[in-house]
This record gives sequence, C-alpha cells and structure tokens, in this order.
Amino acid sequence: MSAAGEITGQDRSILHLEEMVLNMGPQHPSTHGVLRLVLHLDGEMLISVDPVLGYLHRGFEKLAENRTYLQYLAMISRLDYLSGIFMEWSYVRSVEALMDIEVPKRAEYIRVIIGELNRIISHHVAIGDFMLNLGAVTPFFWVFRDREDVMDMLEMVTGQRMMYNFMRVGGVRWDLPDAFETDCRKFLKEFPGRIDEYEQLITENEIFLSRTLGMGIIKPYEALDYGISGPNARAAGVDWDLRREVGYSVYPEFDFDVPLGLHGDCFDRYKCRIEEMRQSVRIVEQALDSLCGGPVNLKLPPMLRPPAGDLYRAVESPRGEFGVYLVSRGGLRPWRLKLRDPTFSAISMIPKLTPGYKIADVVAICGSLDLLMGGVDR
Amino acid sequence: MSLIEKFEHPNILTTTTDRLFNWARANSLWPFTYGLACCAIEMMASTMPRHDMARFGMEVFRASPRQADVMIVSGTITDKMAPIITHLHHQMSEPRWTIAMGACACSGGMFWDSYNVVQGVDLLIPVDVYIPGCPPRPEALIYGMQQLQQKVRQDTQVGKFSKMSDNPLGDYMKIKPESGGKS
Amino acid sequence: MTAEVLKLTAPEVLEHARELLGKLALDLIISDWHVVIEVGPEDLPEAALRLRDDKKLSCKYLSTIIGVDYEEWMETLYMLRSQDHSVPVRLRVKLNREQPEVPSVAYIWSGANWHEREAYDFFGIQFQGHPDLRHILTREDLDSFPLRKDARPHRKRRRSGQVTGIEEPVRLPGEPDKRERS
Repeated sequence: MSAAGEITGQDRSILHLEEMVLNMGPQHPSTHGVLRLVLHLDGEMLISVDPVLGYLHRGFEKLAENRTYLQYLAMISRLDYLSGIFMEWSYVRSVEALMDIEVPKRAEYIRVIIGELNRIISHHVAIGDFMLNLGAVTPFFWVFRDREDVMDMLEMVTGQRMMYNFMRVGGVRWDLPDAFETDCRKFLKEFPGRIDEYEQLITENEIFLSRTLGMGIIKPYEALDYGISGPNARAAGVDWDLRREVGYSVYPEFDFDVPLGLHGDCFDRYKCRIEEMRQSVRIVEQALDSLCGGPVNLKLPPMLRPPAGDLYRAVESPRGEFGVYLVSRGGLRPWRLKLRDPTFSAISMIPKLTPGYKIADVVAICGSLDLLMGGVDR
Repeated sequence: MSLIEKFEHPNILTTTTDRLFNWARANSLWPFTYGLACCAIEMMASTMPRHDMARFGMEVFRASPRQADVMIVSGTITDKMAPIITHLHHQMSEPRWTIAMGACACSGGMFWDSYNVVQGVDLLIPVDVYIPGCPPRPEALIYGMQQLQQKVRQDTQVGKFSKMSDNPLGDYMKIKPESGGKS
Repeated sequence: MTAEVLKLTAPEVLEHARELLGKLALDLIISDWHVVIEVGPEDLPEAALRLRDDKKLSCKYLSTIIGVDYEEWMETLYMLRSQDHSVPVRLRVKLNREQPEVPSVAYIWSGANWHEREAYDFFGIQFQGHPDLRHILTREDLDSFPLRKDARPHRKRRRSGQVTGIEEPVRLPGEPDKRERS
C-alpha cells in the first residue's frame, strides 16, 4: 500500500479475494416481488449473476385448459397486476379473432381510454419503484398520490382498483358513467403539470444522474437479440411500437409520438417512461374527443365455442409486447394458451447487463428494467 | 385528554403486566414487507398519502424478519415459495403475528386447483387475521390490522412460550409428497 | 436506427421465404397474416440462420418459443419478427411425442435460451446443444411435465386442512367426458 493509503500496482493482488456467492431474494425489497438473484462477487464487484425464477409460478397456462373462455377472463388480469387491462385486451383480441367478431366502435374507444390510463399508473409504479431502489423515497409518495386519482377514475368505470375484469369478448362490460368524462378531462388538464413536478424532482438530480447515466447500457442489436420490447427497447433506440406498427384497435386514428432513447442506459429508460406518460395523456384526450355513440358490447352466448384454429395476438403493454397464442380445437376451453410476457425477456438480459458493476448498481439496473414477477413466472 | 394530565403531582400507576406489555405492543406493530403478488401493491398503497397507515401506529415496514412483529402475507404462495415462507416466519422473534392478506393467502384464491399453489398460508404457519378480497382494498388491510390490535390487547403474554414445532418446514412437508404433480 | 420501414405484404414474404429456404421448408402457408413455415427438426438451425441473416427478411427478433401438445404429436413454434417489415414469421417444427427432441437455437438468438428452458420445463422437450437446460419456473423436484395433456396435476379442493391428491376437471354441459375417452 502506498503512503497515501491508495492501492496501486501489485498491491492490488492482495485484495483479490476468492469468489463469494451472495443470495439476493426472493424476499428482498428491491427485487420487485419475488425475483431471486444469485450473485457471484469478487469483493463488491460482480462476476456473474444467475436469476432464479418461479417463486410466483401459479400455472396460468395450465389453468386455462381447465376454465371456459369467459371464466379465464377474470383470471388473466391477475397475471401482470399493474397493467391488467392489457392482459385482458390481448386475450379478448385473440378470442375475437378466432370467432371472427367485429367489435363496436365505441367499445374500441373505451378500451383505448382505459388502457392508456392503466399505462399511466403502471409507469407511476415503475418510476416510483426505480427511485425507491436508488434510495429516494419522496418520488414514491408523489407518484402514489397521483396514482390514486387515476385509480378513482378506473374504479368508477370498472368497479375495481387493480383487477378490472372489464373487457369482454365483443366489447367491454358496460358503458362509461356520466361523471367520467368531466373527471377525466380535469385530470388530463392537471396531469402534465404533475409530470413536470416529477421531472423537477428527479431528472436533474445530481445523485440520480450519477447513478443512472451510462449504467446498464443495452445496444439496439442486443435488444433485438434478447427479444426486449417496449420502453426498454425504445430507450435503446429500437423504433418499434405495436400501437403504431400493427395499428390494432383504433390507434391508427390518433396522433402520438413514440419516444426513443439515444444510449439505452438506465436514465434513458426512465426518461422514455416519463415521455410515454405524456403521450398517453395525448391519446386519451383524442379518444375522448372522438368518442362516438352506439353499443359497447355484443350479445354473445355465455358459453363461447370458438372454431378450431390457432393464432397469436399481441398488444403493447407498458412493459412491451404482451402476446397470447391461443389454440382452439373446437371445445369450450382453450386447448393451449401461451402467454408471452415482455419482462421474461428483460430478466434474461440481467446476466448480460450486470457483470462488472457493484451490488448497488445491480439494484439500479433491475429497477430501470421495470421488472414485474407476476408476468414472468405466470 | 391524555392520562398524564389528570395528575397534578408525581404519582404511581398500578396495572397488570399483561396490560402494560399489550398496550405497548398493540400500538407499535412493525409489519414485515413480504410482498408476493398483486396484494403487495395494495399493501404499498395503504402506506401512501391517501390511506396513510401511519395514523394507527403501524407504518414502520421492515424488510428484515428480525425487526418485525407482523408478517403480512400478501399474495399467492407457491410450492417453491412455501419452504421460504416458513423459514422467514421462524426468523421472526416472538411474539409474532401473521396476517393472510387476500384470497390467495387465505385459501389459494382463484388458483386453488393449480399444480403449484398452496391452498392457503395456514397450511404452513399459524394465521391470526384473514383479510378476504382480490385484492383487498387498503381500507380492508387497515381494518384487519386494527382487528389484530384488538387481539393483541386481549392476549396473555406472561408465561407464554412458543407452541410452534421445531421443524422449520412446519406441517408442509407432510402433505407435499401426496400433492406433487405426478399424474 | 432509422424508421425506414419496407412494407412487405405477407404473400411477398412467403414467396421470398420459399426461394430462400428451398427444400428446407416442408410447407409454407399464410395463417391470419402470419407466414407459417414448417421445417423438419434437423433442418431447424439452418433455416433459422437463413431467416435471420437474410437482408430482406432479417428476422432478428425472436418473440417467443411455444410448445404445444396435440396429444398425437408435439410442436414447437418460433415466433419471429423483423424490424424492417411488419409481417410476423412463424417457424413450426413437428416433434415425435414419445421422444421430443429438437436442436437448440440458443446460439442464434440469445433470448431463445430461456424460452427453451421454459418449453423443456413444461413439456419435456429436449433441446440438443442447449447450454444450460434446467427447470426454470416449476420447482426442481417436480418429476412430471405439467403442461403435457396426459399430466393432470390439478389439486383437489382442500378439506379439513389437508390437500389430498388430484381432482379431475369439472365437466361442463355438452362436453365429452374425458375419463370415458381415455
């Protein structure tokens, strides 16, 4: 050791310790649920990470084979519990496509409104949790304050705070209540100002910047290679949004931008989510303006019996491409239902992203990827 | 008006040890953040500005079982998680209480017939308060916590020792071989 | 990345894939605007590499790998997508149900690694050449493959604090009784 206490040159070899294995999770406050990471460490430096999944494996895909099409609808919003509407949406889209059902126009607008409001509250938790992982508690309180306002509106429409069970094959459960539009417009007017508040609090914070800039960089080709989608991929510069590319539902009618990142680091992923919240506000405004009259659902028999066939339908959930692959053989229950969750791919990238960083940075990287174990373990 | 304002001079209060300890315990329950699934989000929401749980003296969520009194089991318990939940419960120091939050923790919920889901956390560890709902609203969780406070106030602590078995896996291992997924 | 998207239609993608794969493709159809290409298990890595590296198709994104058990045979499906055109391509491999084996594509798409582990976990499909074929979601000591049709790992409703064995699914009106058929 040199006189100044600094470790130089050959002295460094003294500090080379043997590999230490540290278990993080499944009960850990910053692994977003029940993710378990087995960290192989050299001192505090990471050598490799082995994620262990399955602590919330509820058997969704097997249970689908034991439920009717309508029964399963109640279950599927529990899959990714922060954005349940998108799970339902993707599922009803696949059943509708199998049965060749045309959805009433008003129902599509209502789906878009509820979906985009759900995207906002999902990003609320994503940002709040990310900041909590970095040790900042205040933003968590701020986003939850605003989240409750949106949840009030969603509860007014659907009757539940989180598990909506609002979509139906051929439409939505019921029409929007009368008070919804005024409440929603009032919220949409206030909300961009609140996003500015978040940005004042977080975006230019020195500590936040030093912990996120240049951390956990995903290159565009890596994002494609690992199957990353959604804000994580768009932060890496992959210009792909199913709302625009596939143009399902009534999204082609709306004017919105797809925010892209430049570097694909933790900061870009945070910033992408902030911008997506602004775009969601724009979409809901336009959808409210163009809301037309008419029925909101179709009269269908309670026992659906889609014809035999198989297809894949995906929606752009707040975490990326959420897809349902549905095989029917003409029965009352699905023959096979595969749920493609975007977070599963995002977690598979952690062993690639984290080596070389310290433990505290692993927490930051996991937080920025917006992990949610409900969809991963299924 | 608090009790202390009734006295004009220094004084002595007589009470039973049970009442004294229970008064202290019931008014500062430290929950253990055991977020498993959907209910964990509502558990978080119950501590946030709208439903501030801190009003009732139970907001200090601890991430370590050693520092906590109440384990709020919030979510579906799977076979893979079952050994860990008993392990964590045994790490909590006595006296300890458990709240089963949500339908899944009470009985397996809508996943009851899955091959990987434990039908209720009471198959693994003793439960004091069951809160139904899928997920329960934050108000329901606060009410459940208040029910637990009532229970703690009526408890007899003196001379009480742990009646739990020493097997860290509890009763779960007894049922596991039969409930395995072999067809 | 620029957003200059070449808009190919499904029939164009189909024709190009037919030229590209030649004899490797056993069958090409358009099903619900997806181009479905059936290949034999032994030809899968070659077909996958050609689809990925072709300039026009450039299926660089593997969305997911799906296993399906049809009781008579098994299938694995590879959902591919390209950034350059929005026509999804689906590779389909039929497998022998008694001994499901297929070469791994984990070295072609890195994301395939975990999707293959999942398909192994649920169906017992052996991916030859996979770097790390372990259980991923189910518990390690589970000795059956739960999503196979012959596995019926539904639990019996809990009575008097005990979980006892396995229950048949509830039969709905108008549905054939599975017990009679088997």
